[in-house]
Amino acid sequence: MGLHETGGGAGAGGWCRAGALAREAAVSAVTQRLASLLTVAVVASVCVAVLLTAGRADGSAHEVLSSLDDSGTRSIIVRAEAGSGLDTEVLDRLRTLGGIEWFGAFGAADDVTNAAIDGGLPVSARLFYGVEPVVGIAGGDPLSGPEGADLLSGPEGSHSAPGGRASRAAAGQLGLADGVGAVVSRQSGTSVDIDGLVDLSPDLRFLEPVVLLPAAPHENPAAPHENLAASHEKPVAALVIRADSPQIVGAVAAAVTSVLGVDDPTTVTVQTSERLAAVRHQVENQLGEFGRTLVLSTFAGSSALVAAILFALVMMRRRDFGRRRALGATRSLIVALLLGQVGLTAGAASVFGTGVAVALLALLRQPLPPPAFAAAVAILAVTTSLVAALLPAVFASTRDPLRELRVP
Amino acid sequence: MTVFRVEARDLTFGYRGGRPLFEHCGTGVEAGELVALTGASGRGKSTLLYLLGLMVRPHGGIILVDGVPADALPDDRRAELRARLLGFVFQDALLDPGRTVLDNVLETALYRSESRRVSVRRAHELLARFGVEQRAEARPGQLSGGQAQRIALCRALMNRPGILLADEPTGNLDAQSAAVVLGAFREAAEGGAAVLVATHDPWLVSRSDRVVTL
Repeated sequence: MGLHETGGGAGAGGWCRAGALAREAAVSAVTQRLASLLTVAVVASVCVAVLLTAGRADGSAHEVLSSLDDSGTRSIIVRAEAGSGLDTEVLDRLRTLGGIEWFGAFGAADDVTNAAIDGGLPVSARLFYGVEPVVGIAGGDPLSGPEGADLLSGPEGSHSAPGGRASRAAAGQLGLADGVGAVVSRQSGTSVDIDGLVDLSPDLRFLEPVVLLPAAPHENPAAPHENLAASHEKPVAALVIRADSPQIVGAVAAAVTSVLGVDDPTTVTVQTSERLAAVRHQVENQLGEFGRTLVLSTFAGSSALVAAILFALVMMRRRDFGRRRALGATRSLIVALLLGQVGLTAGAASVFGTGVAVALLALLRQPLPPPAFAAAVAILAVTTSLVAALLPAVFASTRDPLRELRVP
Repeated sequence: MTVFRVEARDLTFGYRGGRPLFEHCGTGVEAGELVALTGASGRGKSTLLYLLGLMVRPHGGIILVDGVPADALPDDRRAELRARLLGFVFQDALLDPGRTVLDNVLETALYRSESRRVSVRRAHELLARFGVEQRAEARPGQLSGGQAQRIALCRALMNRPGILLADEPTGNLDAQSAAVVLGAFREAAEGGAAVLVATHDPWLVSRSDRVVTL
C-alpha cells in the first residue's frame, strides 16, 4: 500500500459504512446514559406538552370546524315559489359553472301517507333530480340511476318498479320501521313503493321529513344517460348547490343566481352559508395561529435545551473526541456520529412522547389531534433536535488531539 | 510489502505564548527501524510524535511520509492517513471506559470503513497474541495498567501500520508487560514498519536501533 493509494473504501460499501456508523451511534447513545436520558426527557416532554396543548387545541378546532361544516358552510339553497319558472333546465346550466362539488334539484312537495294505514300521518314527497351520491342509503341501494318514473303524477295508479327512499324521520312518521313499504299520494291517489331509508346530508335536512322519489333518467338532466330529446322542463321547488370550499360560497352563489333563468327574481330566495363560512375561516385562522405560536415557542425552547445538553456532553468528553480524531476519525464522521446519536435518541423519545400524549388524551376523553399533526410533531421534534445538535457536533469535530491528549 | 519512512524537515513549532520548541529541526525514521526518542521533560518529545503523526501542522517546515509532504494535505486526507497508515500508542492507553475491550480495539475499523467481520477476526488474533483475549468483553476499568496498554497496542496494530508512534508506552508497566510491548515494536519494525518511541525508559532505549535525543 503506498501513500498515494490510501484513498477509497477498503472494500466496504457506503451501506456498510452507514450501518457501522449507526451501530456506533447507538452504542454511544447507550454508553452515554446521562446525556441520552436527558435528551429523551426533553424531547419526550416537548412532544407530550405540544400534543396536550396545541395538539388538543387542533383536535378541538377540527371538531368545531367539523360541526360548522355539518351546518352546511359550503351550501347554497335556492327556494322557488310555484310558477316561478325555475325548472330542471337549470341543472344543465349549473354543470357549466366551476367551483361546484355537487348540485341537486327537488320538485314541489306532495303529501303521501302509508298505503297500508288508512288516515296515517302525511309526509312530504319530492322528486329528486340529480345523480351524484349526496345521500347515503341505509340498508339499500344507491339513490342514483333508478328506473322509477314520476310516480306521483304518473298515468297509472300503481307501480311495482323501484321507488322512493324515506328519511328516517319520514319512515318513523309513516310507520315504515325498516323503510320498506308503500306510500300513497293524497292528491292523486298514486301509490309508490319505498325501497329503503336515506340519510340526508346536513345541507338537505331542511327537507325533513321527506320521501325522495328519484326522477326517471329521461326526465333527469343530471343523469349521465339522459335522453336529451326528452323534456327537461320539470318544475323545481328547491335547488341545493354545494361549493368546493367555504371560501367561494359567495362567488358561487352569485354565479348560480345568474343562471337560474327565472322571469321574476322575487319568486326565488337564495340562501347561502357565506356568513357561516366567514366564521369558519376566522375560527380556523385563530386556532391555527394559536397552535403555531405554541408549537414554535415550545420547540425553540427544547432546541436550546438539547443544544445545551449536547454541548455539556462534548465538553465532558473532549478527550474522547480528541482520541477519535488522533486515531483517524474525520470531522464529518464525528459530526455524523453525534447527529446519529441525537437522531436515534430523539427519534425514540418522540415516539415515546407521542404515544404517552395520545394515551393521556384518550384516557381523559379529550379531543385527539389528527394523525398528521401527531406525526408532524414527532418529526419536528427530531428535526429541531438535530439542528440543535449541529453546533455542538461541529465543536466536537474540531477538537485538537494535541491539546486534548498531550499530558503536560 | 510496501514500507514507509517518516521525516520532519526544517521543522519549526511552538505553543502559543511560549518559546518555540523546535526551530528548523529535522529527524526521521526509516522503514524497519525502531528509534527511541529521548530528552528531558518539556523538550517536545510528545509534540514531535503528534507532528509526525499528522495530528497537528508545523508552523514551519514539512512532514514527509514516504517522500510526500503530508502535513500540507487537507484535514480529512490526513485523518484518512492516520486511520490507514499510522498506529499510535498513547501514554495512558486512552481507552474508552464505556466500551468493551473488543470495541476499543475495533474503534479504528470504523474510520477505515473496514468490514466488522474481518476486523473482529483480526482483533481476536491480536488479543490472543498479547494474552488478553479472555478480557475481550471486559471494560477498561476492570483492567490492570499492563493489560490496558496491551489493549492500546492491539488497537494501534489493527491496521498493520506502516508507521508506529508510541508515547511513553512502558512508563507505568511492570517488566513483563514492558517486554511484551517492546516485543511488539520489534516485530512491527522487522515487518517493515517505521517505529518511533518517545521514552524515558533506559531499558527500552538500550534495545532500540537508534536514539534521537531532544
